[in-house]
Amino acid sequence: MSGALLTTAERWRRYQRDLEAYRRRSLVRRSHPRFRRDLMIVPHLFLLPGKASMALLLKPEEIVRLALRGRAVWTLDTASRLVSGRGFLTSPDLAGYLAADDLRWAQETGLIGEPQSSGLSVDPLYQRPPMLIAHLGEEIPSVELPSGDRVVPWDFLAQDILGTLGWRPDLLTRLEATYPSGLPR
Amino acid sequence: MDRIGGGKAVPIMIFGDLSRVLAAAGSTVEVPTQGRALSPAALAAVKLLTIRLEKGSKDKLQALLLIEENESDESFLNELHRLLSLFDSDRIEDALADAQAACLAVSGDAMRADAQSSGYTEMALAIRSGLTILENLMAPGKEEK
Repeated sequence: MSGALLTTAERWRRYQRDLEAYRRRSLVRRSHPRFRRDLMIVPHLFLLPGKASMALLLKPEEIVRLALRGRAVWTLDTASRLVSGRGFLTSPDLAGYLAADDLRWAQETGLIGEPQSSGLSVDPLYQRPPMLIAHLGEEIPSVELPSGDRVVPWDFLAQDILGTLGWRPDLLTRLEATYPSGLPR
Repeated sequence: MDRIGGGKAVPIMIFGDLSRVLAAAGSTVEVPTQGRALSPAALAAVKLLTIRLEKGSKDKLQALLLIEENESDESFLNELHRLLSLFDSDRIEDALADAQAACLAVSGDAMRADAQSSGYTEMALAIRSGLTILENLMAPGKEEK
């Protein structure tokens, strides 16, 4: 941007340009029927630095998930797969909330490798082996599935998706349509 | 602002309907060093409603941080609610959507922050807190206390 002072006419023209862009953006947002509902979602940062870490799965995903049953509260892609049978990410990771002691236990029992806190991503740019992505030490509401797995409730899943992937009305609509009606939200 | 100086009053130019905020009672306060300035609540309202492409997100982040800073000040929250209620619901929805988008942008920055930019995390949490307060304040059916 130029640091030169603008005349009143130049400011007015710039304002009109910005107003036009805002109108377009507003119309695009409102073209999604769920705009008003999603407006009230406050994003939650699952990959919060200092709280989140990830570790290589040293056992198959199913074995690690079963071992952490009752300890972990699953979210994002993992919760979606458990609840509706379909995930939405290509990376076959496990993503959930855990106590720091439980993460240590998983490492000591050989389920996972050494946790690392850098390069965190649920949507890696390169193919990497499956990871456990854990958000540590936060009290999170949970819903217990008939299988015994615990997942975040729908409202919190929407907060995690927004905070991790941004506003994805397409994804939220699909997830909501496949979310079992019997589960508390 | 197109000109500074030349008398007691500073001429300012306000585009759009933000003049409604300035016209509202109590939206400006006397500053100790003479002159008047926007009250904290009016500043937050103006920042939320300002339309500009360049630095538009920065306006929203400043507003959210100001709201978070004043979270326990009931008169600030009541005043902010009163000022925002001067605008129609479409305008407020757009302002909330812009604030949410700015919050998401900072969340992305915080997730990618390295050790040198660790301050992003604290700021992202404060912004999220400001957004929570704002959304509760402007939730449908919420009236001024």
